[in-house]
Amino acid sequence: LLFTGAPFLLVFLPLTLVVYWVAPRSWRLPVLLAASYAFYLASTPAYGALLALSTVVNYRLARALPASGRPRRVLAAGVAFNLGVLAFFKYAGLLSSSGADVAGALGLGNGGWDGLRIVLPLAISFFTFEMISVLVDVHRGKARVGGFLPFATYKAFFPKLLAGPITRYGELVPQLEAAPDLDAGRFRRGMGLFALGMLKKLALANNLALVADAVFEHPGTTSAAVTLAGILAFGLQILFDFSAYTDMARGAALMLGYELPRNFLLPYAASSPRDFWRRWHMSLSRWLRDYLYIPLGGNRKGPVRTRLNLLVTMTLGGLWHGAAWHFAAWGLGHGLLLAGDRRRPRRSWTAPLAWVGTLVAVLALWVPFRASSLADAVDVYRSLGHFSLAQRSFGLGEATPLWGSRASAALVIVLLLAAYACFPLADALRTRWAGRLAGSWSERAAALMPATVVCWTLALLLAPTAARPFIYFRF
Amino acid sequence: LSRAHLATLASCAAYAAAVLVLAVGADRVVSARLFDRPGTFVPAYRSYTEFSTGQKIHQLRSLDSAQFDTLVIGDSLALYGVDPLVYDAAAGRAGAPARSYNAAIPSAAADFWPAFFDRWWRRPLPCTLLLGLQPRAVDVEGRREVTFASRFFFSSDGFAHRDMSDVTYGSEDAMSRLFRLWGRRGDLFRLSPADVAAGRRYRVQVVPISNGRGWARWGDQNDDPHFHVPATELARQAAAAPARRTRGLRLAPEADRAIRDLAARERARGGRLVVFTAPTLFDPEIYGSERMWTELRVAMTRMAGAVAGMDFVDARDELGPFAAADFGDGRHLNARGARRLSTGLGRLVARLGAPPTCGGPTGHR
Repeated sequence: LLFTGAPFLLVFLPLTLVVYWVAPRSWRLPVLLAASYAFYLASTPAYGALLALSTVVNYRLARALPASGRPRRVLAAGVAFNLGVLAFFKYAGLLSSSGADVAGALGLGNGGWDGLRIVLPLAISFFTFEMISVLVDVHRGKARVGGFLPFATYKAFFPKLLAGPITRYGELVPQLEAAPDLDAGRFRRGMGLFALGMLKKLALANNLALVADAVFEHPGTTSAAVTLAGILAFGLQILFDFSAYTDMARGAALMLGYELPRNFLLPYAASSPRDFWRRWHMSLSRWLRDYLYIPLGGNRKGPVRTRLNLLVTMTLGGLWHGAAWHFAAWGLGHGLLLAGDRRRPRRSWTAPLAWVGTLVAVLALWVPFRASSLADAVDVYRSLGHFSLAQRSFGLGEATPLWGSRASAALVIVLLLAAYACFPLADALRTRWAGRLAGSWSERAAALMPATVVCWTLALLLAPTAARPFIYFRF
Repeated sequence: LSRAHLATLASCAAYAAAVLVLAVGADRVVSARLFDRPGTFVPAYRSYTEFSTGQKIHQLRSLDSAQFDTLVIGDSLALYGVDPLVYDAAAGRAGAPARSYNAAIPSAAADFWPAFFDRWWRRPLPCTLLLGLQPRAVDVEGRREVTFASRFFFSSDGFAHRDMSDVTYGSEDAMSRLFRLWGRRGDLFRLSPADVAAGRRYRVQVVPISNGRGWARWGDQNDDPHFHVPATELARQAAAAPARRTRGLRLAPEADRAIRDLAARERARGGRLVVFTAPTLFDPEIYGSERMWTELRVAMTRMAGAVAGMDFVDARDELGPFAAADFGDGRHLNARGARRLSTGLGRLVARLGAPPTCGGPTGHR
């Protein structure tokens, strides 16, 4: 079930909303839990049992923690359980196939076995992080786990189940326990936010994907201009793709009466790497900070150790996306940027330079993230040196209403640079209006009925034919 | 449920209904501006660019698989070229009664079909699969040009993730009827901003399915001049078509695997795969040189000798020359040509004899 698909839009969401809001208050949580499991089982039926097992085990551990005489051991067992499950499904395939390759290379023979073939359960990275955060919060005394029903619903809550935002226990469970009343304003805001997500995903991200794919699916074969267009396109594609999912998740949750945390805050307006991570995938950044960086020592053990902690945290953050060197390189790159990021006094004339520098560094690091391998990433970087006037336009895998079947590299670069330049402008407006408007301007605009209708219509009008799953479903 | 809750619920429902009405209204206004006949809803499988496929998918889905034991698959050459009614009659006269359906889909490469059976076909395979091939469908380079068919066809959520369940199918269909821009997404890219600015509307080239068996008759209900070229003009074009020297056929590994896979599926249930080639008058494609066609036939003959459960029928050679009057354009047969090919094919396949053991508890025979 994709948020942008007809089964979700016409069947699942309306049915869930009607049953949920018509049910007596005491039935709403069971309805939500049942709907969430139906949502997960429709996507990955074989792993429904895994979700349930993980819920039961983590609930027992979270309940046992406060009363335990050895809470650190219980916590360690819980973290090991969650990481073990994640490691098995996410990394065992890579490790076993690498082992088989090594055995073959050493002449030991692998008996025709080329490693485990494991289908990754959807959402495993997200719910693993959430469960670890619950256990740690309970251990730190910041959370107290009560009934099983709110706990299980928190874990399986379908709007955020597949790709976040990574939500803390304390952010959602009190809302679930309180079972909020239906609020018309919240409902309208939810519909608007959902339509905004449709627009971002179908009209923007999916069109940008065609430009990015033209470069990243043929690494090393494109001219400098086309490669630059592809890199610029991917930077915006991943933002619109992921923030579209977050908007739709938050929109669906709002229609059910719940608030989920924001995940993005105009990230390409960032003036430093540190600022970027305050705006990009904010729920992951918070998680990495609170449950990895700070336990490693944070900045409390001197400058050298601080930098080391940043490198370790960000490299592991990269590997969280997938067991591959190119993800590690992306994380390490960001770790190096953060380690080198020093607070300097702000001067008005340096602000544009800081913005450009941050943007260039972030875009450069999207290359290993998007490439299929480290070697492909190197090929894409090399393509930036292929100056050629012969390849001024490039073919797209699919003709679309927005681009046609070919795109001019120069035109795409100009359009995308203009789009990036809008971020600091939008951020300046947001800062200026912060006192006057509650919530983000885009959410308020989308809450208006005409804006909702316009978002929806533009999404249908500009969407390419072929559907694409959300990028973060893979993680 | 309190009165206040019900009042809020009613207000939310009214708001959602108003958004829906406005969205449908906007959809109608925009689609009327973009399409020549926006109100003519041709059942269109939304992920595919060609309307006959949408019609066919609806038709095929409503048929009980026990109604046919032979399925014609392939691309537009097979779609226009094989009329199942004529084929069945010819096969029956030759002593091998058949009930066939033409499931061919324009631009479908060879490796489209195993995926089609895996993800869409949720019933036993018919005892005979008739796979029409041309060089483009199996050549390394040519295949790449037609993979868009697979990408569109399998791009819906149902196909992308699991299979086309009844819920997915029904909701896709309902959504297409509710929002024309959703249902006609596959047409939108054909309109450039210049077209829209100039007030031009897209007129879909409807290729209707001409009978209940999936066959498309060339030129039916279509006023595009491309579909109504006189035979004399075609003969002139054929005579003027230059002989081209091209590289030889390079069988794509995916196509090779797909053909073997289809043969294995049929063999497993006692059926068989029959690969056939259709005649062309002249083939302007770079994959359509005589050398390519000849090498395709050589490759298929070899494969049929080596792969159990597979036969090859070279209709291109065995049925003798076809004339310009048999063609709608250089490559596709018109109704007259389709009658000739279908008759000949029925006779040639009947000569192979019936699959001996096809059926069983879930089979048709």
